[in-house]
Amino acid sequence: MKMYRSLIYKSFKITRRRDKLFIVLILLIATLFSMVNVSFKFDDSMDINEAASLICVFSFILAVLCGMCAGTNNGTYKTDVNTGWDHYIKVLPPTAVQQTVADILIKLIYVLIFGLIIMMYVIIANNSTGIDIIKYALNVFLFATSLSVLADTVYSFIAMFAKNKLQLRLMGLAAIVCAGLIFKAIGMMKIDINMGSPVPFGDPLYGNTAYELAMFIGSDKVTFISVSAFAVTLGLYFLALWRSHGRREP
Amino acid sequence: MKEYENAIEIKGVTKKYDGFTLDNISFDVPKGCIMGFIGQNGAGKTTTIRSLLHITDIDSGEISLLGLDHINDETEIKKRIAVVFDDLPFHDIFTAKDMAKIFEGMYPDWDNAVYTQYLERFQLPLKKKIGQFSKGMKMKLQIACALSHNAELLIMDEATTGLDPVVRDEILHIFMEYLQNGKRSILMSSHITSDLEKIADMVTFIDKGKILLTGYKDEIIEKHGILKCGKDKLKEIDTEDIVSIRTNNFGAEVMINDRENAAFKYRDCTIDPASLDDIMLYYVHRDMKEWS
Repeated sequence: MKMYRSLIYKSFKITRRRDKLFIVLILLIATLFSMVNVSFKFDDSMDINEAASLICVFSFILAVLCGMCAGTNNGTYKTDVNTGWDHYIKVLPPTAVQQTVADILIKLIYVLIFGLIIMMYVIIANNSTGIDIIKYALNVFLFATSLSVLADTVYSFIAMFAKNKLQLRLMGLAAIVCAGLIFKAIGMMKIDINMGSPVPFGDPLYGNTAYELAMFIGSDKVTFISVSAFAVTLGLYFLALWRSHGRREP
Repeated sequence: MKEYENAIEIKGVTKKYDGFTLDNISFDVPKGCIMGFIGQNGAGKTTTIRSLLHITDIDSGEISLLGLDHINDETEIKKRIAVVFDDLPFHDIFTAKDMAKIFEGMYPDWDNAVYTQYLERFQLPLKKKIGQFSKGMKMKLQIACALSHNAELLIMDEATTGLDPVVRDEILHIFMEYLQNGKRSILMSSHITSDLEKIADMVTFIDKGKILLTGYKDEIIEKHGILKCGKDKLKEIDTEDIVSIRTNNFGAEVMINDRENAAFKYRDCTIDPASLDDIMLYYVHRDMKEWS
């Protein structure tokens, strides 16, 4: 455990400023969104509809931002290369597995911190509006985190195999182009989802598309998919980092 | 803990790159010894050190550190050795206090009291950012970290390069103290032969990826000498006795590899003792035989 504490301490010491900045920015955005939420009066059905739509949109935006902050590369790899620490750590006791586990723990700490922020936001929104979108926000957060972790995995993979700056740039460009093509292909896919209405006819929220989509995304099936996606991307991340830490120099 | 005779054993190690090959190198560093690893820039010192630390894989050969295999027992070895490089690999925002927090989790034998003593001795501030340290202070910090976990083997790769003579002397003195218990060993690579003349027990010369000489420093210095004579006298000197010949307008200086024997054979010539610097210089030119 002391070994992991040392490695985690080292990483967070380097990224301290960046982390504080991200947390402050996210909290500011969450506060702004919360202030808008509490301005609605919930005795008016028009207001409830508007509130529901806005809360769903705000939660989506905040969950995506939190997910990106949690999953994205924190810059320690680049710092380690610049200082020579990535070379030096090969002569220190931490094994490749221990370094990788430390990196995973760091990622999970970020997930916990930003996950807590988004959860606090939706719980406050729930308490003030009565609209329960906790699972919806959690799933969006996990999907966004998974995508960011996947991007970080690709980055680690590229950094591992690129032999010089030119190769790094070319491989990075290829990765961006591939990602663009994949997103375009997904965007062009026609998917029919029979969401059904989560509320009966006559309910003020009946026919509210944003709310219906949120309830679908917050369903148990989608929760299972989001948790699985997160677990799989974390597994891929572990493998990529393990290979990277265990690699010997030419 | 396994008992061992040699802190480092390198047998027949070969490592090929484009344009350079570490070619079948072998040498040992006995326990309790300071080994000076000497060679020009690009001779293969760093490649050898990277190979024995398993920073890079070797193509063939065997390496053992502290009696253990350098690959199979890598984790155990790294808890018991310390490495000092010429450039400080710590981030500028860290302080000496941060480094203690980082290393105390990594090394089971880390001793904060010893670390603090070295910081005080080197007059290094505990809470100042490393980015504000001078080059000498950075090297002292790296050495303080290396000496604070009771490492049995210290490996230094050009650690004194770029330091002023006062700092170098201070560091060399610390190393000699560190070895006083007879159980610790040092492998120190450098092209500053004067440092190694001061503290090394043994030396190994490497040039163009090949080991030229390895052995006890005093014996190597005792065996070699510089014979001074006129150019016409060169024909009388056995080629077997010659390492290489340096000519100038006034005559020739011949590096001989058996001073005692040469004193008998060439009585009418002056034979001066050779320094490690001289020995390195003449061996590096050995392929040319005559040079100026």
